[in-house]
Amino acid sequence: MRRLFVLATAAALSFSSFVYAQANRSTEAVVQAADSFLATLTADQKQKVMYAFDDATQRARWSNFPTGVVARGGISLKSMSAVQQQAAMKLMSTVLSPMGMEKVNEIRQADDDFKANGSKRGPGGGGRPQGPPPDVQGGPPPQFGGGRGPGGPGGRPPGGDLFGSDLYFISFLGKPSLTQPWMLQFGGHHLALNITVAGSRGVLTPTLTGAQPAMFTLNGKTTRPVGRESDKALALLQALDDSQRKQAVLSYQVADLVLGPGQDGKKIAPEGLKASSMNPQQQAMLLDVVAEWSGILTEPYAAARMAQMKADLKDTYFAWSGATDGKAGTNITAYYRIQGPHLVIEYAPQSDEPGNHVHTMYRDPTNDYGSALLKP
Amino acid sequence: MKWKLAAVVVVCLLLCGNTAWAHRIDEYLQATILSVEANRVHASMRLIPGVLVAPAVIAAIDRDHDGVFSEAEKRAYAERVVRDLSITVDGKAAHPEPDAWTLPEATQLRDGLGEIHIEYHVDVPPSAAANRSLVLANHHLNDASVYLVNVEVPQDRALRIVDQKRNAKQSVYELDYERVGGGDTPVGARRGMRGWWEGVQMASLFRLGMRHIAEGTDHLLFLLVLLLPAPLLAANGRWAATAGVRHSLLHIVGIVTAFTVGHSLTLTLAAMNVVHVASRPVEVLIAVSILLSAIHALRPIFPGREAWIAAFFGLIHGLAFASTLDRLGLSRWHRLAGILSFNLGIETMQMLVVVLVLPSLLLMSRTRSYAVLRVGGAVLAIVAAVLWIAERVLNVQTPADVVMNGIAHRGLILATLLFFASVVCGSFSRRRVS
Repeated sequence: MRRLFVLATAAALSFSSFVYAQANRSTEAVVQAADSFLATLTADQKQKVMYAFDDATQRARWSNFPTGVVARGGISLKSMSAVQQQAAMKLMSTVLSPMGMEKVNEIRQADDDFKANGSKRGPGGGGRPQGPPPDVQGGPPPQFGGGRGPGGPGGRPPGGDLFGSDLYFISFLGKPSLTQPWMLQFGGHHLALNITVAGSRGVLTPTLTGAQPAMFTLNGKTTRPVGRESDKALALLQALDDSQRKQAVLSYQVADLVLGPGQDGKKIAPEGLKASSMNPQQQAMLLDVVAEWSGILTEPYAAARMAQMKADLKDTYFAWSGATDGKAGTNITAYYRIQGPHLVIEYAPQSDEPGNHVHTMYRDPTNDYGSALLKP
Repeated sequence: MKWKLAAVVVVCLLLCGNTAWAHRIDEYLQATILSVEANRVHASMRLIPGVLVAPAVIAAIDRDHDGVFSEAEKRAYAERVVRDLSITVDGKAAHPEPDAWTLPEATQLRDGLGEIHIEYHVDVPPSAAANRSLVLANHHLNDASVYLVNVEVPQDRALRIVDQKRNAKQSVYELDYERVGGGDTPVGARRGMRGWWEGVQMASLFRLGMRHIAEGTDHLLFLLVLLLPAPLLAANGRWAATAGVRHSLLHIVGIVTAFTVGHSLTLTLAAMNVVHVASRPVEVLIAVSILLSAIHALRPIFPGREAWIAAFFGLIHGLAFASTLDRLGLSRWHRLAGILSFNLGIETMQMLVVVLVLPSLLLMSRTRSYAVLRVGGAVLAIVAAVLWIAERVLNVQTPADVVMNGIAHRGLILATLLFFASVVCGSFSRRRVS
């Protein structure tokens, strides 16, 4: 009988630890990747990259602007050695889905393109570089940039240091942990990922994505970092019937993000077409648009978020402002918003170059920086 | 259009070579978010000039042209912006008052950076009518400006946004809102009823009740720990023989029913504002209830009287349920029906949990390995209860919530495992007996 006890206890223990491990697998992998990255850093870098979990200033230190204009916390890819960069990107590919990773990389590539070619807007629209001349300060090649590497918030760097795929910063709020909540931030020009991990849950709100150019050629391939966001929403709009469209299309212009950087926790009255008046196919299309943001995180985190989006579906609104005659494969010049009890998505073309310069925002006004996970 | 763009590009290059990324070039963005309160409307304004309009904005602020914004100049600009608005409430002119303002340095504005923030409010005089309307027309630097106006979902649940209308530029904005469920006029009362039939929330309260039990680990833990010794009989101050299935079942049903009666009673009384107890002592008592029932699972301290204990502590748990309902800020009318749905949700979830673990408990209680489960469960509950008591009395942080929530989140898997374990143990012991 005693043997049976031992057996049963052992079985129960190993079973339950197995179950826990399964459910917590993604967080485990993320924490492991974070620890491996941190282990590659020097003491000085480590000190720059870590913040207290409740550091409200660092939490909100993100923007659509280039890092040389609005300084981020943490350390940049540029200031890292090749090994450190690799570990940083390994961490990102662990916490993000392949789709999310691709989006992040394309946003960074767009910044490289902008650095090389500037805005294509201008007389005749012909690629006249008007960004900062890249050679203003000469300067060493990007990697191992010597003393010039921006290592955290500082003054305004020389003109040549505004753009490029290496000017993306990583920072941690709180120590990576399986049980205690902590945050990972990764961002730069047109990108601000704010990822809160608390136990088996991971939250991506608030997050900003965007691109300029939002459509460019890379290695002979047309690249649109936030292109599916445009195509899928346009397809949904086109799938609406006339009376639905009348409700969805707002009668006024929306010049920019309503809830951009600095507008945490605000819950505005929703407008537009309610998903409860959509047919199942249209509802699925709506969720598919949302997936462009919710799916940035790795699968277990993203799946929980999608389940919440499905539960909220009836109270979710779709609103559109601007031209309704876009073409799939090119970027819309219209603004749209998707809003539900736990969601605000905004897609806002920028007035300087509407089809080629986009900011998007992904929020949960009830769960900024995972605040809802932390409530008792 | 082309020459205009060309001019923009040239001027932009001339002005500052490194602001080609500036998103707003020849526009002055004025974004307002309103929030509606019972007697006033508050507005939060962000003003962001593009590089080409920045000189005009700077000139409007820096009246003495010394390149620095003095405090007096900042105040004067905030007052001017607010003066350039025309606001009516229910058709009558209202006077917005600036409350606070922050302005960046002139150099920042010149580079297309930094935002001007202005907060203001208008008083809304009381009115017998439930329908209110506010019109906001913004005349500030109209030629160069683009506008955003939105309203926050009111914090005050008695207020409801009915409609927002705007002209194409959003420089003129009309907000219609209403007071619901106020009940101070017959119209208000009827409207409150309609609001209730339209809007509320039976289903959502039902779901809330279910979630409350599923996520409120302390309530569930109390019930489960109380059920642990239910299939057993006490003898000489120890848990000894196993009671018959019929007896165990009746006993368990009795305990669950008593708990339900207890918490329904106080939930109703508290939700109807008949009794009111501060939430802190209630939370502490709930942790104590877990501690007591866990000790009872180790050694019988109140054998045969579990149902009474369940009823008694049910009264206390009900007070905690009521405070959840309280936070929703339902009016009294909504509450009656609300309590019903909420309680049904709690009951449903509770029954689900009991049905889920009952077979395992009955099956396993026939074997001697049940002691492992009973003692293990009781010890876990004691630790959690002590940590919760410490947390709630001393205001300290403990890992109790994280761990217990972690367990609760895997409740379904654990219940399944428990069932398999009980089947395995059951068949083992039967084989041994035969």
